[in-house]
Amino acid sequence: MMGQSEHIAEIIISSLMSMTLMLLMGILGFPIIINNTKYNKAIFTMKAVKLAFFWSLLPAGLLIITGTDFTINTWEWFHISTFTIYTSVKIDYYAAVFLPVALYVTWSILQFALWYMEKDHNIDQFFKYLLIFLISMIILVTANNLFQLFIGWEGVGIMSFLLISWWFGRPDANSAALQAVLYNRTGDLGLFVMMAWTMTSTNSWELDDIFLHSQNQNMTMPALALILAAAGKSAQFGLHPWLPSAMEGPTPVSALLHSSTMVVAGIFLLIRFYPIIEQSKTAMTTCLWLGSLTTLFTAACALTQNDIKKIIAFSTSSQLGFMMVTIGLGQPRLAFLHICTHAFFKAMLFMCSGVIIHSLKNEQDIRKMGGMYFLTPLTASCITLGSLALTGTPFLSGFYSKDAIIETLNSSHLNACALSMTLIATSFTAVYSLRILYYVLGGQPRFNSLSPINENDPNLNTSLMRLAVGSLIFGQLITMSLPPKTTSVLTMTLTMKMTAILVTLTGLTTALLLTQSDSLHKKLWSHLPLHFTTLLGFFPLTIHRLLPKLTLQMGHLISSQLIDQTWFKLLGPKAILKSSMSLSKYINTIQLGLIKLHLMSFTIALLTTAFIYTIMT
Amino acid sequence: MTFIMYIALLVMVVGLGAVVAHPSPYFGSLTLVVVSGAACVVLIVYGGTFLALVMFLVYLGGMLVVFAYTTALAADSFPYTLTYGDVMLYWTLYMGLSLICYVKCTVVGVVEGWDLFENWEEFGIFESDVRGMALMYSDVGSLLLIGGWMLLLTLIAVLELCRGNSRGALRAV
Amino acid sequence: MNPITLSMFTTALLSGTLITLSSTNWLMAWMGLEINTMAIIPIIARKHHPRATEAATKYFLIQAPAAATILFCAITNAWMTGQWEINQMSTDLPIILILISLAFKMGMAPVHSWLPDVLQGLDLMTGLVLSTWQKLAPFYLILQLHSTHSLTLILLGTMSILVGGWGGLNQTQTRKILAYSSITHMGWMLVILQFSPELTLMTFTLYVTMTLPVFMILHQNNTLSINKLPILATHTPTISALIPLLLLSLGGLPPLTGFIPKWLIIQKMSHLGLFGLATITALSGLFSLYFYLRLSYISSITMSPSSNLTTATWRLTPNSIPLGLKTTIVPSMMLLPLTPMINSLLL
Repeated sequence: MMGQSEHIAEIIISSLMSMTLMLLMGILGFPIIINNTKYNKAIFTMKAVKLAFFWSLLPAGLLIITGTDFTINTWEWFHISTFTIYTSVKIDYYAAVFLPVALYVTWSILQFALWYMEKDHNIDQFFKYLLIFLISMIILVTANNLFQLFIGWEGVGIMSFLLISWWFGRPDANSAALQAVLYNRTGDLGLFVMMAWTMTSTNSWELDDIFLHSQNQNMTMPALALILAAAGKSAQFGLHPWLPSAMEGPTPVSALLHSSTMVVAGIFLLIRFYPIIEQSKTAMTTCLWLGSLTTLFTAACALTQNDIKKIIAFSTSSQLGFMMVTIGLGQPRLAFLHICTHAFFKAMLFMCSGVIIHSLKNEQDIRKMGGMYFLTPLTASCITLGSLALTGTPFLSGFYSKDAIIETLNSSHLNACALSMTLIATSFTAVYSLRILYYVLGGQPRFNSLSPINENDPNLNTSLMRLAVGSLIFGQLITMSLPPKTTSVLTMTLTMKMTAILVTLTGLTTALLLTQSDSLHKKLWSHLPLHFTTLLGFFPLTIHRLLPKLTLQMGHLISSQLIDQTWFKLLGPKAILKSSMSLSKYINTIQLGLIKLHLMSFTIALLTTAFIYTIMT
Repeated sequence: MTFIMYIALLVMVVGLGAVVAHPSPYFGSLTLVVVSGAACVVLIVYGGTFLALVMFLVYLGGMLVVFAYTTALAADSFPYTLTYGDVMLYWTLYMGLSLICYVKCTVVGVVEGWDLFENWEEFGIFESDVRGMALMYSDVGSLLLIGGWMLLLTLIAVLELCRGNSRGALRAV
Repeated sequence: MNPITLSMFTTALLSGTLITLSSTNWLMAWMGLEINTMAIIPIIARKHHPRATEAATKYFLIQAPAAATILFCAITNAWMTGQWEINQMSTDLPIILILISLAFKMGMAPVHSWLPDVLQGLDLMTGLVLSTWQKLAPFYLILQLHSTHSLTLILLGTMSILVGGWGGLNQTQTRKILAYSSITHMGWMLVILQFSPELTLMTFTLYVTMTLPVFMILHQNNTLSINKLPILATHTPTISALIPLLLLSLGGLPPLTGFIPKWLIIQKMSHLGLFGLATITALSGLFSLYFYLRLSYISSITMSPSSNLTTATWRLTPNSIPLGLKTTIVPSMMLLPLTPMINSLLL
């Protein structure tokens, strides 16, 4: 009986999930049929996502309640000689939990976008793009097949390009979109390698087959390929510059991109393929180092940025590094937890920044803000809440993931250097969060006096508050339902247990003291060199400017000097011209009109031939 | 006989060298006469008596005209003779060349077949040139006709080139 | 020249070549060659122009030693083998010397030098006879001798192509350019002779077809140097439009007749695995293509640099295109589609 009920549960779960997917897919075509204003179409999309969210709660709830491990629906798709490609949808814990989270966040973001993008001429198209973006992410998450995953992966990539360059009239937006696509393409190489490897080594793109066949093989190469893929998508160190640049897109895009879709896809890939990563020590160490480097570097960059969206973007990058560290620590579930909790407050932070930017007539510089606490109380509260959640304040949703990760980190025997770097980055989180709060909310207003400050829009309010609720309680909810995969450390010293909070508080205190000393004109380090962090570690300068410049100069040199000047001119036509001219002149020297020369040529020819013949015979 | 033959051949070679070496038409044609005479002697020694006779007569007539023309046309009063340095040099050069050719070619078998004609001498009742003559008149009469046509054509061509008062022989007017 | 004399020489000109073509005997062939030479000389000197007289003298002086050498070699061969048959020559040295002499008669490299010189002294119609009909007899003899001495033939051919190309590059006189063009085409014929005599014959036929209208056009407009070429447009605009096609056909560009021989020759060589030779001939064909292109450029693509007061004389005195020109222009440009037919006729 028990077996049968499980079976029934599985069927219900997968059918419900399919319904959700179909609902979302169907929405894409629906606005074509209905004849309505663009704004109404956008509302329709938003409502569909809302419906999908509630619907998706059912399979998630069922899965958790019945304790089903996973269900897989597989259909044969097509064959490439002996290689079969399936469509297989896997609904396990990750997919079932991630879906409601993503839908919830997207719902809020769409509602926010109804306010934010109200004046846009193509608002329905914008919504459609966001929806396709989300669907790609869902395909990616539910995929149990590399090919399917690849479709979602690339769908996310191309949609991010379209969305970032939504305001394509702006050169910055265009270059940011191009950066995103190019860096993602670098990451895609990793996925290609992985796909090629699995195709040749395991003869299957089904994840289970891959895991099964990879038991006795050296998995370093595919694992590193996966890490490259994840680094490209999740903007890990080395491939990170596109993420802050992606801020050129509309704020809803930034919110969606940075919370639950695009950037976490890389981390999610590693979580999905954790059984492969796990088998290679090199890969694990790479994850750890890459993550810690990313989190420290981007947190440091966030410290000195003045653009509010950039600070939040770098914070995302730092959090992604943090998730990477978690993978390196061997805790994919915690990483997944952090993805989910992070989605709420990061989306909310972005939306709040959007409100402020909108209110201050597109002013993004935090030095020209201030005093927003009194002017936009709801937004200010949400920013504060989000920042607190981000820094891991106890019992907000960030706490449940962050604290657990730092505990694991403290109790592990891994690379102490990488771990301490991560801790420093954690303390930086408090610093840059404080910076936002201090400059944006506190103090006197430093903006123009006639700013259209207005946050009294029902769409805006509802969406913000919805996410605020999520940031408050979601951590608790999900921790309650999260079955532990590995035994967590249950006993530890007080210091270790409190490290996360202590580190954060230290950062906060230091930052506060420094800020106050600064406002009192006590220059502690008046010549503190900040170029490194303000210029993002000279990274874009080197990679985006120096390298292309050198390459182009080299190419120009080769094309103009070597090819054009030398081959196509000097050695080609000129050489032929000169040799032909001289030969032509030489041949015509006999044309003097003298009969004796003609006869001489005949005599010489005869004699030479006879002579050669005599010699040869 | 062999001695006469060798003398005739020597005169022929030396004379030809002189013909080529002489810059003045006067001596050129003079030596040509000598060479022709020697050539006829060679022909006689080879057995072509009739041919030699015909050729000598033709040469006698033709060469006389050529000689007369060249002496008449040659404008220089003091023509170069063999004793002049340049002429001598060229003549020596040609002699040397023919000597080398003689030494070389007699060694190599290029000229081996040349005694074929000589060997025919022993057979038959008639002289070989007479035989050839008969052949030409009887069997391949067309050849004779064509040959005659050719000579006539040459004559007409020369006439055509030279006729007229104002535009003498080949000279540009 | 007296018409009767002219007709006599013309008859002799025809009969000389025909005698050579129909003879199997070296003596007859030689006679034909001599008759031919004797007949053309008064025709060359017909105008009694100093240049024409000079050309006639030169031509005689060139042809005489060549014919003498041929006779000498034929007699040597007859002495050594006892027979006079042309296509049964078996002694090597006479064959080689005869080949050189015939090449000298036709004006092929390395003994080509007299051809531009003599052709420069002729009027274009005589030049046409000299560069087509006069070559037929020696060409036939070479065709008869083709079975031996491939190296000599290929060397003669390749050198002719190269020398013809390079020699023509630096010329401004149309007759000289056409002389070099003739040398090049003879080279093409000789290169392939060893492998496919039929192809050689075809090349010769097509060369005659193509060079005929060019000579005729130049004769009609009396354009002896490149400078005069732009005037074509004012005299005969139609011809001016057609002459690039004719010249490029001579150069062997694809949609035109001239492409047939080049195509088939290179194809034949490639089939036989002679890629080096094929490459050399194909590439050296570019040189001649260059001067054809230059001629076409000057004749029809550009205007005359000197300002002429009458821009359209053809309106005032309409020059009708002669029938012979009309009939030769068409096959010299448009025979390419008939390649299969030509193939089956000649190959």
